Amino acid sequence: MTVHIVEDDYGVRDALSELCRAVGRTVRVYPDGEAFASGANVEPEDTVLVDIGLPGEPGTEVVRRLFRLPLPPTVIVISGLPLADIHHAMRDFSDVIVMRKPLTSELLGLLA
Amino acid sequence: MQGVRRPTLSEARLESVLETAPDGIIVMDEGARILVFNKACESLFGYDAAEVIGENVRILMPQAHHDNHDLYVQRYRATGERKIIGIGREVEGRRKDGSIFPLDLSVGEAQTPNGRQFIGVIRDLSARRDTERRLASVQADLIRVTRVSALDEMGSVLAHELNQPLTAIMLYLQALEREVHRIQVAHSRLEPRASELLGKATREAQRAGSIIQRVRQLVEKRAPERKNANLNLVVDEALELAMLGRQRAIYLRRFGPTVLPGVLIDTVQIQQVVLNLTRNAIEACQREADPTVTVTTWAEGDIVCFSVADNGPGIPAERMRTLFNAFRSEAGTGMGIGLTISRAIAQNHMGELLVDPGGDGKGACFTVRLPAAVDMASQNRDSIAAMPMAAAAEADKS
Repeated sequence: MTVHIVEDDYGVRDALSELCRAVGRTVRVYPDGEAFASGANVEPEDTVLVDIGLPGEPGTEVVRRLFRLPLPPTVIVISGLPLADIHHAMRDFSDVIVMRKPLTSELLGLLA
Repeated sequence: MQGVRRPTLSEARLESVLETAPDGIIVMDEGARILVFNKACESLFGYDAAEVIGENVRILMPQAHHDNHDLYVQRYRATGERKIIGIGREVEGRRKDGSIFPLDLSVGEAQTPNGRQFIGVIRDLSARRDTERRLASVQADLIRVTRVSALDEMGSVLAHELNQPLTAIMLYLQALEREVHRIQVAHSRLEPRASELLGKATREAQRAGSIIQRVRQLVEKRAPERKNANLNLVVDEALELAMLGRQRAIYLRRFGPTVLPGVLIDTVQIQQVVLNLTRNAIEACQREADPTVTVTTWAEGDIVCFSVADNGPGIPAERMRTLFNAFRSEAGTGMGIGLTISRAIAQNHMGELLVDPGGDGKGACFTVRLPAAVDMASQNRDSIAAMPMAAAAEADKS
């Protein structure tokens, strides 16, 4: 039931992890897609929060790899881009939850 | 009788010069009658030499200049005051079909046994004019759109930059609310002051959020005009602009395959990025002995890229940290904002802007990667290898 947070902005990453811990989830954080690829052990019941505007490997690539898993985790994509653009970037993946920053309390519902 | 005489060596040479000269050459006598009308003139004006030899040179000018020309010749013969001889100027020519075209005219004078003769050398300027007109219109477009989009981009960049810390603040407040709630439950005691202050802080954060939201709506309402474009052309056009009116010589190298997958872009915005990166590159290497900017386009699978590299000193590490932070960088060179906007534009196109800072004798290199337009992505995969596309172009040295 771990929440994996892939986000390059320290403030957003730390705040997300505080909030996830506050609702009782175990948290692991990664500053970019490469760190996530090499360091994460993702279980099907986990949740992965990915910022698609990552430096280096784009967030879309992180999502692509997750959906190649036999049993993909819950994937939540976050971004400051317009929702239409996020949806466009995620058009290949039907099971992705998309949220625009700043994040509303809707997120809590998904995490709790 | 004349036809049988063999031409002298210098006549033969002259004949060959006239035949092969790329410029139009006209010789006229003191009475403005045409004596020589070379091959290049024939294609410039559309007349055969036989049609114009012996005619007054006026037939090659627009009607409006006819009378003036006679006056000019008379005045020169009377006063010897040179208005064009040895100087050259831009004038208008008239073709056989009546059309008018701009030309560069240089006039020389020769004393011959048959009297004074004038030699005119003519260069067609219409191609150059077309290019100038096209560049001027591209530049005007760019300025117009840049003005609007610079404001938009500033707004969008500002919104984005503020949005990150604001997102963090709102998440921290939600976490804090949870924490306060947990403490209240654990100690079976209400903390009304804490809850009240938290509520106020949350409302203020939401107010900031709605301001950002409004700025974004304003900016996003003007949705960028995306069309399927050839990145090579987009880059070339922007480079022409970047090199326009440069004071010092810059060696510009351009590499790229002749065919690239199409990209779905707002061409003016992407040209802004090319222009901005190229200007930065020129700035970075202008103190080098041989300032060189290398611009390359290529494709990597379904990503289409261009890079702008310079042979300057590279970007120092302390500069790298704040390179993209328009609102945090100490140095007010304007480079920060340009780069922040460039990156925002790349990201808005679902692409990215990457930096290789260079250093140790290597210049900096900025790379923009853009997704290929979906339906074109599978084409031209095999033309990835970079090949020299245009010979090095040198900027004006004026």
